Amino acid sequence: MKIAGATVILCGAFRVWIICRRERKNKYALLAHLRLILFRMGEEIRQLRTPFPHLLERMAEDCPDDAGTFLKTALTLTRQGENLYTAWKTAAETLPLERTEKQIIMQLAEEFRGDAERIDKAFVTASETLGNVLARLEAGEQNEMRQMTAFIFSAALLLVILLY
Amino acid sequence: MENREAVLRYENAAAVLPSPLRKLALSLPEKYQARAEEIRLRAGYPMTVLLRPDRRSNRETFTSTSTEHDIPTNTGNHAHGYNDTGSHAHENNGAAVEWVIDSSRTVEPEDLETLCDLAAEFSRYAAVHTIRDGFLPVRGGCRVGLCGSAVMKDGANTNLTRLSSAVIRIAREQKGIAHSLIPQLFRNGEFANTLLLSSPGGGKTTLLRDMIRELSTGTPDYPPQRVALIDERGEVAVMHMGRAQMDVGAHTDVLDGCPKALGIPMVLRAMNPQIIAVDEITLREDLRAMIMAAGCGVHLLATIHAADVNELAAKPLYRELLAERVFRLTVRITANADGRRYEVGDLWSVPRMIPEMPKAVEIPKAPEVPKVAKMPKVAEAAEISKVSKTAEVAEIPKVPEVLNISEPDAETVPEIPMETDNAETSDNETSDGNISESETSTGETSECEISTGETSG
Repeated sequence: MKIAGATVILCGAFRVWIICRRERKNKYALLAHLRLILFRMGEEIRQLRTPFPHLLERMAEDCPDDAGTFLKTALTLTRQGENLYTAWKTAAETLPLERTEKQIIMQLAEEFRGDAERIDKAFVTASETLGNVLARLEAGEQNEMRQMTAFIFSAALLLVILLY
Repeated sequence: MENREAVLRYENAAAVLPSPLRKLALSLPEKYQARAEEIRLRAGYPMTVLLRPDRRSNRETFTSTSTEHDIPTNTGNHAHGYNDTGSHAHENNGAAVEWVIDSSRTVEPEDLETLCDLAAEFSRYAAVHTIRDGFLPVRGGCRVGLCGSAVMKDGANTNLTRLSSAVIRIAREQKGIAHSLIPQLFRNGEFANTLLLSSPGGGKTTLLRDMIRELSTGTPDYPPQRVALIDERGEVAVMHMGRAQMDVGAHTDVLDGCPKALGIPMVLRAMNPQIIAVDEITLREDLRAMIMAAGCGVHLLATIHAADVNELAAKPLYRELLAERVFRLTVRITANADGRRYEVGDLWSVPRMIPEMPKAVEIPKAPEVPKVAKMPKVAEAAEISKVSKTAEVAEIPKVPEVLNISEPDAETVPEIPMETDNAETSDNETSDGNISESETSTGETSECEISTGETSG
């Protein structure tokens, strides 16, 4: 009975851990996608001078999940007559990211009136910043995992002792 | 139908305006929207609409929001119309009317920035090469002209910032205006090089566009021609994402945004055109490229800012073009109360239109030589030539010092002694010691021959 209880608790904790891990993986994937998108957008603007609406449209087609939704939202708002700078910021607000991470993307709108080199630089810098954020998160994840595992086993052990 | 199309073009032009100004522009009644040629914005002043003169009536009125406005039309007088809100229209003598829709709403610099953003689809970097030239092509066929502070770098303008005024030029596609003209522009079954002449705003580009379309499509008498259009300012075909916004025909290849001097050799090499069409020749390099293309057997169609041939001939740059006889025909566009008229003129049939080529080199008078042979007439020259070929040519040790020039057309030829160590003379010398043929400095062909028996020691 006690073992069964401990097992249930362990399973529950494990499920929570799985969900957290999936969310984290999704966030990492989103950050990785955004990083890649921003880099590609910067490069395409510098090399081909592709206008934003066409760039957003094409990138949205290539992108899965939330990154694609972000681009589609920005594009839809622009087509509805919204200013691109506002549309970009509004769409960035909907991203499932931390405030600081959203800020990195939102600040790009300030550079949209610049020349191609300037925009490319801003996009590449934002891409690198997101890359750094991703690397930091991935490095922190291992510690977090160890702590989480230790916590779950400790909690299960404590429960077994208390029930005994 | 035509009116509806004009209204749609106006609405398309108004779409690049910032939202409050767009609403204002769209409040203009449709019949005036159809007449609108330009929408003008100047920072600190109200937005105006340039209306084409209405030739049907002398004075018209329309009611906008709460006030009835008087719009003066093309009566040939200079007039101002005011209303109680302070809105007014200016009429230039015989020209379009500039109408203020609402004088209470002035244009702010931010409006101009937004206009530029909307026209460039928020991608100024993609249009910087045209912005620095002061314009922006817009999807749908309009063009936005811009003024502001130029950003100079190495003596060239690289961008425009702090925009101060803008004009949205509404493109007018008038299909069929060139239909009756086209057959008049062919000589011996081939298109004759043609210049379209009018003063600025006279409708050259509109006519050029329709001529390109007609030539490209072909007529029952003339087959479709392969036309290469060098659309340097993007005003003729109005390309957008690789598609022409204006109908320039199915056999037209458009090179967009490329300087004419570069574009003409490019299409000549790559596209094998029968006709090359360009808008507004303004630079010497353009002329040189066109002269080169004409030399390659391609036919040319171009526009020039000049009211007529006399004005054309008065400008040094175009005088060269006339002197080279590159263009044969002109189409002069004139406007009067009944509309636009097109007059076809033949530059080659009126000698005075073609300025004379300047004499390149004047032959200096040579010093007198003691023994000078008398210049023979044509028959004598032929005899001498025969003799020189058959008899004593081999005995001539070196180039003689005196030569005779025989000019077949000249009845009395003055004695012009020339020294034989002249470089030009030796260039024309044949292997047997005779000088066969050469061109004089004035371009006329004449026969030159060395007199074999009368060489002076």
